[in-house]
Amino acid sequence: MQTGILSGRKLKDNMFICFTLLPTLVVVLFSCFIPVVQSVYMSFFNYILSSVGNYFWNNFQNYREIFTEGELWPSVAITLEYVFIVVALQLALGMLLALILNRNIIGRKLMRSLILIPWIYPTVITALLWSWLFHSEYGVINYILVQAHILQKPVSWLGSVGLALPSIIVTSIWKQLPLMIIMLLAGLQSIPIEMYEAAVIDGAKSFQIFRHITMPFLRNVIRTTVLMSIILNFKQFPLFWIMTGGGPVNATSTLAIYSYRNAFVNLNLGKGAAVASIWLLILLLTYFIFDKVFKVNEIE
Amino acid sequence: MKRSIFAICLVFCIIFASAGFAAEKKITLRFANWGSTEKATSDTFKKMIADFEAKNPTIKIDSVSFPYGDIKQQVLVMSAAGDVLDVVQAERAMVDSYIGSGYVTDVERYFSKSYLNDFYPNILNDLKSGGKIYGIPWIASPWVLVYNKELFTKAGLNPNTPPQNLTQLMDDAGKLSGLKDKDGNSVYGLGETTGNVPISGSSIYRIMLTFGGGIWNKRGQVAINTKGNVDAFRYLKTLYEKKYNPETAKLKDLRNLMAIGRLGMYFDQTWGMGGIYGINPAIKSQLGMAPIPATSVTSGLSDLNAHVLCIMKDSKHKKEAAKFIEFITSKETLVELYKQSPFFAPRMSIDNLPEFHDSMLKGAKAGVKQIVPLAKQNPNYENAYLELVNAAQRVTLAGETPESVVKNLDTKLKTILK
Repeated sequence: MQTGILSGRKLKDNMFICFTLLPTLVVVLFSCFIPVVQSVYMSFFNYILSSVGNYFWNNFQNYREIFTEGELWPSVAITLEYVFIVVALQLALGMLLALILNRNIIGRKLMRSLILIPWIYPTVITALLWSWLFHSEYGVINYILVQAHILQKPVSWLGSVGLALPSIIVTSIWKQLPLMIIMLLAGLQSIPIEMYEAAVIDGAKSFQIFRHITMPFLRNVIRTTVLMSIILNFKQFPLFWIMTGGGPVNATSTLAIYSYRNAFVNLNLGKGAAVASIWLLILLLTYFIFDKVFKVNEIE
Repeated sequence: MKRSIFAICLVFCIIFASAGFAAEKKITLRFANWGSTEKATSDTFKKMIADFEAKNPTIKIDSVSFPYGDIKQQVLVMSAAGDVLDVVQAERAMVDSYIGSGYVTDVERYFSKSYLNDFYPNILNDLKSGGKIYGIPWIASPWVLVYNKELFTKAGLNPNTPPQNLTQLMDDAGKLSGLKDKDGNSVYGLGETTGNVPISGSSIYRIMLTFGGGIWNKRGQVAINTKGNVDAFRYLKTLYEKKYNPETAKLKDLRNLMAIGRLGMYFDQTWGMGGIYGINPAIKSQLGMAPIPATSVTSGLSDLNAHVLCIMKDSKHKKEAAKFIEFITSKETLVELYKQSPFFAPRMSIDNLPEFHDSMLKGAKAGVKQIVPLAKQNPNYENAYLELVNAAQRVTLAGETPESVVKNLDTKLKTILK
């Protein structure tokens, strides 16, 4: 009898959960799932905006072109290089700054507020701002480095094959670091102070405390933050498009740029969708690998 | 009796006339443009539309504004969705995409012969595909050499004799490169745009033409691997190696440098002067303009830079659209536009008027004859232009040889322009 009442209540609870989730599911369906399916579907068709009436199944021509024209793998390599460097540096710097801001230092509250400023700027503004800072003729960075005799003459940061990607990486870290710091700081503040006190009484040194208390407690926060950062950077477009347009000599041509060029410069929406589909697959693969690695660590 | 018949007739006439008058519907023409979104031209566009509506009370102009960078996509998307536009302002390279899309109509039948015969033939022919004209050129410009007379004097050059040929151009660039501005910054001798935008590719195409190269051969096939094109990219490599040219500069960067007196010469469209005056109005008197210097194989050649007016195929008011185009290509409107930045009027009767030839533009007048119509229309020109930019950067920044770059470019453009 009691079991029956319980299962009835459970059913009601489940129905209530479904009911409250329904609006979200509908929004996700229309704003996310349907466009993705539509994009994948479109990738199998000849769909060129500047050629009216030519919408037809093209026998994987979009994919064949992508795999034979030789621009896909360099774009994948640049994307992965960018994501790996940005996420790794962000995590290292974010951790360092979060640890500093977690201490009782003077002006801590002010610093915590100031540090959010780069995150507040829209990405487009950030890109324009740093384009001017890096400008070879009027840029402040060149001016300071030349005045300080670190450089003999101004450098074309965004116009040089070897320097364009590192310049975008610097911009990206500047923009995204605040989020990493705030997330890690929130994680640090949730660690019980007693753990640290016990460790100090036991004679643990700073590095040992960091390794055996801070890191294990922060693992879940790090996992979530890094995953968010990977996804955010994987689809990074405005910084690249505004600062270099994928150049010079394709040195900053990521998958996002490659897809955009096909879809909105060449107006070949089918091919652009095909690049986006490959891009989605790579992102999903990266996610699964990442998730697996972190879960293994969690079991250990 | 006669009086009453006359009165009845008069009443009927009045009734019919007023019924006809009431039935005369006001037509709305939708004019897609970017001019009304830009500060420099928005007032002129408003006035132009108001003047037309005042003269044609039965036609209303609905200005559909888009930023310059978005207009092509927006027009194509609107047309694909059945959202009908009547007249579209287009950049020259956009016209190829519109022709390829099939959304624009050929215009010859909507204009009188005398009107069409008034255009420079090489400019009008550039807008032909399959023998049909697909747009009316509104304002035009070849690529021209812009130079700073004051820097010429400082470098010991005659400010009234700009370089006439390639040898003089390189010599003058060398002398100008030795100068410093008042803050001790070095001056660039000669600017060629190689930034990652299609217009830079158009400029590089001009260099290819001037060195006897180009994109198409006489049979209408893509043929890039030619001596002329190798020489064109070698010229860019030389400019880079001698540090005459700022790296990967867009046109706006070159205009900035010219405005602050750090660039001796550069190639631009005539309306680029508006960008220079905007930064430094005082420099106007120091600027000079000249046609493209000759090489050993040509007397200087240019592709066409123009703002073009197209009539859309789905428009239900093509005759009225043509009427509007005739009005805005008239002397009155062009005089107003000319006040914002200089250009060549594509209509000969207007271009020869004194209002269109201030002292600066006069120096580049011969440049109009350097315009070579495109051998073939192709919807992928803008993409091809980006490949030309990429090739220029390979030669300069990546240190590749002009021969290997041209060979590689040949393969790429054969795919893009197939």
